[in-house]
Amino acid sequence: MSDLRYPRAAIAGALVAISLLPGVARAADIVIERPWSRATPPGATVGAGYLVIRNTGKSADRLVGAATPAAAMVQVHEIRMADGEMQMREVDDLEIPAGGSVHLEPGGLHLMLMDLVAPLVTGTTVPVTLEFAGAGRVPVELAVAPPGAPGPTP
Amino acid sequence: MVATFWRAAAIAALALLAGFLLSLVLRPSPTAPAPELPGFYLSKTDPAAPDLSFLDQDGQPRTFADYRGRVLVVFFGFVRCPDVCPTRLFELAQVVKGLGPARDRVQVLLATLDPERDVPEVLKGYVAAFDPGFGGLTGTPDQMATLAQRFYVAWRKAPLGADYTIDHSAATYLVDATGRRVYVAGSDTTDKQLFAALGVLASQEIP
Repeated sequence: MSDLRYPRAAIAGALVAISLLPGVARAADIVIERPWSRATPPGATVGAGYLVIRNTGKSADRLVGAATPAAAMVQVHEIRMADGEMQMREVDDLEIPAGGSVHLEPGGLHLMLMDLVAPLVTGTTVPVTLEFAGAGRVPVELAVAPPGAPGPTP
Repeated sequence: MVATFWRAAAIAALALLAGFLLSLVLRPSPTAPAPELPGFYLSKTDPAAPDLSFLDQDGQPRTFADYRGRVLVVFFGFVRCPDVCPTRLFELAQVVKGLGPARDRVQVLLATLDPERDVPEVLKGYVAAFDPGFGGLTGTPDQMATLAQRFYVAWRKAPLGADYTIDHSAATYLVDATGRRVYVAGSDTTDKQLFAALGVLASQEIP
């Protein structure tokens, strides 16, 4: 009996230890909410993607990349106000804290879809694959709202 | 003697009256004092400055004088702006829709800070997606740089990977229907205040 008890405890302990290691978030730990985008007017070659990334895991994760067949490149950008100017900068590495969430929304962070293959059309969806350091690839579908809309169409 | 005095007095009075009437006609417009518009302050910008010229969304050479009779809502931005500019144009479309009949006396214009890319036809299709009545201002880089400078717009190209973006101050400007005055929205001006300001300016008599 006692022979079995210790290995079991050791395995349980190892599992707990692994789950606590940084960067070992599982795909199931990353939950995407409200993925949406906006239709792009004629002439616009860029689009934006918005969503909430929730990390239900016990370790922080990082969004390290994104891709879509709808655009040549996807970057994470941040809009910030500095010296009275609206500035837009690339964010290389977006941390999603353990048990926390990051909101990509108008006027703050967004996915920038650069060099669109075709204009984004209201009522359609845009497939995007997000790549996390821990959780790996997470596919999402952005629901396209009208140009400049403040939020997804309910 | 007395008759001569009265004749001189009458001539002087007539001259004074004529001078007064002439001064009314010749007084530089705008004659009325600038209305107080909560959330906005009067800028020193003179939209009638002779070196302010540009192209509209149809490629027609324009000055602000061509828009006389309409209140202009001018927003500086650029088409390759994925977030701030669409948000603002959507909001402006909502405000303008709420104006009712006064809407015909209000013209929203996107003044591009990226004129090399935002040629008239690009600008035209872009703004029309937000409201068919919206227009745009573009021109040579020099023309747009001068326009931005006169409106005290801070802006510069900033590298973004292999591409570039444009950092810029994002205020909303109003040019009154006389084409002589510019009002600037503060950083915390609400769209309700914009709506009210447009109501006041759109109902002004144009001298």
